[in-house]
Amino acid sequence: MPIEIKDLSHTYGKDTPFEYSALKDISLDIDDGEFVGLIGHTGSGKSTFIQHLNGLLNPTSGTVVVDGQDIFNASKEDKYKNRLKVGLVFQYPESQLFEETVFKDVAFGPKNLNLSEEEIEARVKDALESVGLDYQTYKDKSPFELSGGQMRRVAIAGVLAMRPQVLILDEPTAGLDPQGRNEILRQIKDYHEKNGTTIVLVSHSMEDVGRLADKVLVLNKGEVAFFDKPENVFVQTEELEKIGLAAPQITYLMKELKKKYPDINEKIFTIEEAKEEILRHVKNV
Amino acid sequence: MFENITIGQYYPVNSFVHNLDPRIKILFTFVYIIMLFFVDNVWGYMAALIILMIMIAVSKIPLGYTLRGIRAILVIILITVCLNIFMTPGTVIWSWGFLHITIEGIRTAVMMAVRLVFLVVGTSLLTLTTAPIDLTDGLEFYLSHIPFIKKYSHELSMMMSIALRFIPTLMDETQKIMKAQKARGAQFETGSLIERAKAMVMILVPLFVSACRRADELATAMEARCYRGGTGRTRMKQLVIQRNDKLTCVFMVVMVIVLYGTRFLPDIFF
Repeated sequence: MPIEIKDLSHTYGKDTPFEYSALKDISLDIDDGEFVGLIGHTGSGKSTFIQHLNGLLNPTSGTVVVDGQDIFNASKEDKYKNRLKVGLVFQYPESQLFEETVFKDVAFGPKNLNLSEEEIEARVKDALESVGLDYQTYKDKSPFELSGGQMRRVAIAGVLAMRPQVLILDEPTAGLDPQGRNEILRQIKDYHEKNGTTIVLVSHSMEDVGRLADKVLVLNKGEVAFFDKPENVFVQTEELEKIGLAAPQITYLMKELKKKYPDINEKIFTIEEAKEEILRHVKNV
Repeated sequence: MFENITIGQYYPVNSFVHNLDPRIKILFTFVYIIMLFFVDNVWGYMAALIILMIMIAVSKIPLGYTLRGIRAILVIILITVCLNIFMTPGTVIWSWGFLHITIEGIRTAVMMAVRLVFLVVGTSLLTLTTAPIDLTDGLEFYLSHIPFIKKYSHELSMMMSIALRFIPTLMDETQKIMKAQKARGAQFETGSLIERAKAMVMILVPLFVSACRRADELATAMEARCYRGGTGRTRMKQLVIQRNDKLTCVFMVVMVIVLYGTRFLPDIFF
């Protein structure tokens, strides 16, 4: 389900002293099954941008076409249907939990899809297992007695259970410990590979984005700074630093190495790749 | 849903009114409210309107912005108007069944509506021009002079400033939760009344949870900075009456005389 974004602009608090232009003429296409990493400084418009993709926010101007349909120029019913196709996991999604049991909370989304009881149960089971929670152990627990990390997983499962064709996650690992982070990211990657879902992952970590994403979208002050493959974005360390970001640390190391050994490849942003590249170089010498 | 509530929304510009001592502004607003109830004829309302316009002009807040507060109480105004139109005894000019409209009724209804609008605009001017923290400083000053209450004046004003501080936070939170539930297919605008009431549960439960969590975090943060109430607490920013504050007091006295004086003018129109 490709997403085409054309000249998308959004201004908050128009005609008040708090007027603030959060997005300025954004145009880009996200292809089917792509894993897009969205990076930007705080206030660059990331959260505003993703809320346009499922029609929660209406743009000041511009359009978003999902699956061939303009999601803003649609009937109320179509708008609703579109919203269900694009799953959005907000920042700190655990704050949306409200049901008595984990099962009921995860089932809330599928129930809105008017599915049969069996289908709902199957989806809840599947979704909980995708985020690494055992169905039998957790289904009857109250979401409020879980730990922060577990609540986060339940909330993510609540969106996964709707089987969206596009999954957007706004900093799903914020505030988690390193182990929790890695687990959740791995589960997202697994989910992507298993279901071929298009994924947009908002993150502050260049390492994570570099490792996971097929393409990196960098927003700066509401405008697209880069939208390209990670290797093409991360080599531009100076431009990234100018807008308050940085390339993965390993890329800096490789750049320094390249100064001494010109035949080394600097387009590297994971430690594994760096290891291979250095070993290759050492063997050649 | 919440964009039209201006209470507790400070409008940051630099103006004569913004820089006044909050104590003077509170006193002025208080006197203005009382004087509105003394006004009883067209001249009085015209004088009150002129005074209000002067205040808005001096505060440099766009007129439209000050009027936003009215939308929030529109229902109350409408109810008041209806009650007054139909319930006031007097010369009947139109009747249908048990409903009677009297000249006196129309007169009181219009007066009440205008009075309510003036009240809301006048008081929202106070919160628009005064940062919440200054507002509670001013309130604390007055509370500390009321017997029985003065013991708790600091605690009370601290509670008020925290409450004011949390209005925008909780409104943001509510919108965030609404969006999150909408993303999962919740519908707030459609369905029967009972369905919509049920839909409120999925906003209120997370909202209460987060409000309790925030309260707990704030209490811990205050204790971590050794907060222990008002006793022996000094201020970094002392309130000092300045020349402009005195000028405002003079204007206040003029307002009282003018508004009270209009009572002695012959009424027209009605």
